[in-house]
Amino acid sequence: MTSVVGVLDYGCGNLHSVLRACARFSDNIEIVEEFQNNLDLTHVVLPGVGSYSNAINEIRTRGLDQLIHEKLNDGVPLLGICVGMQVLTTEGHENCFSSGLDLIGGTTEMLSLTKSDNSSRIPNMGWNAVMPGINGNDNQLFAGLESGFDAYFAHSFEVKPNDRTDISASSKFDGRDLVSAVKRGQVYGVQFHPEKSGESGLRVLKNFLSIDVLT
Amino acid sequence: MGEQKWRVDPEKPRNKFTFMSMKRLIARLDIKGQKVIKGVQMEGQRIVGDPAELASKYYEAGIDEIFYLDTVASLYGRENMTAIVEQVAQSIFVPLTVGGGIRSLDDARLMLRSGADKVAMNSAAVSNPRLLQEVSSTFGSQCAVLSVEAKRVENDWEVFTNNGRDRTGVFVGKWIESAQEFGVGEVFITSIDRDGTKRGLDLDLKKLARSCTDLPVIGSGGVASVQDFHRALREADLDGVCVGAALHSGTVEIDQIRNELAEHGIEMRKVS
Repeated sequence: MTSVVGVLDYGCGNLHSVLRACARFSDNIEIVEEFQNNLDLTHVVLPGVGSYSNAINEIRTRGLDQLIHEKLNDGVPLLGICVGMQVLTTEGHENCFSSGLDLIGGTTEMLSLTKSDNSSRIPNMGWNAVMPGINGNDNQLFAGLESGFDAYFAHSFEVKPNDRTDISASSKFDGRDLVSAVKRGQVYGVQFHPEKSGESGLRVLKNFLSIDVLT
Repeated sequence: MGEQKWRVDPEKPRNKFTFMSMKRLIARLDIKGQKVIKGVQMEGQRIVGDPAELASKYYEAGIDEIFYLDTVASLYGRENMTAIVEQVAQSIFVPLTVGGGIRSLDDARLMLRSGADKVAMNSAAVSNPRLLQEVSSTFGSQCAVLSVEAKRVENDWEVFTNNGRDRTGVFVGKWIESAQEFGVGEVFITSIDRDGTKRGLDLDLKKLARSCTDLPVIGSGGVASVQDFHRALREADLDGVCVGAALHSGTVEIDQIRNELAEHGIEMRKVS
């Protein structure tokens, strides 16, 4: 089966970076701006920059939440990137409270600097090592990558899953662990930007696009 | 390169159990028309090369980020060069910051849709600081960069706009503090006096910027050697250093900077 990658466009963010990066590994990429009935997709990518509340509102207004739920029911893998990963959680605590897609039970909260190591900042912007495979939640997304590969982060909020087995990779921030990837069934999320993380990031996207639809 | 002319800071040994955020190496491409140019103190510019070719070359060599500045956009009020941004973004998979002529939320949106990850604002932000707020609240603060171009004026640093031509009467310290209130996520500070001179970064200016904000601070203007990077990252505690002239001329090489800094205990991205 040839892959058809649906990249969800809800008007915020760096859609084209994600498209260009995916185009390295797939000839069939569809930009999906709203819910469509008979869309045949093998992979769904939910990019994201901006705020949780903006993102989730736009996703709902365009019916993309319905599309996501339908595709997951069909066994299609989903990859949320940065804010796209954050909105997978149950709720976001930003300026206001917003309910999310609830695909990963948990919350999205503002980063805080507790034990200042004098080098961490908010926003957390820059390169950081990613350690996959903690909690035995090893997944295909990181195949072929060394533990501690570097990826680019740009965020002020972090995901806190209720079930720690949903955490599939962690990174260090302010001397503590930060959730840098989640996985639950066919739902994948990365806090970093694979489309901006050099060759390692491209490998993550390549790995995602080689995950099969569950039948 | 052989001998090391500066000493390793004994208080900060490279230790895998001590977490330090990674420092960033950023390549600066000053664009005029269709070409990358480089002047001295933002004047007397000469052509260095093609934007997409240089960006791609630096990406392949392991640069952490690219900073693209359209040097004439804000001066002539010309339309933004989305075509070049698109071209530059085509083959690089690291963050791209675009500055020069970002005057409105729509300008910012256009740049982001063309392939930029962050937009840097200077001239328009000085005349309309609410622009910073609009961009950061719409696209997130990680996307809104305050670009500060400063010249030493008596015992202080004054903010200049329009590629170093116009005085503003605004001073660096106050300006950075208020911009942080408007929600920007990063401060990019350039010393106009040092720009293109390869005389080393103005450390006092960088330290001032550092002392005014908790945000990531990137320094630019005058980098000539690995030692300049080291001093900026250690003494001024910057989060990244941006290099233009010295990189274009081959005075420094990306892997050399990375390796020597890592040897001196600075956390750098591992490029495979």
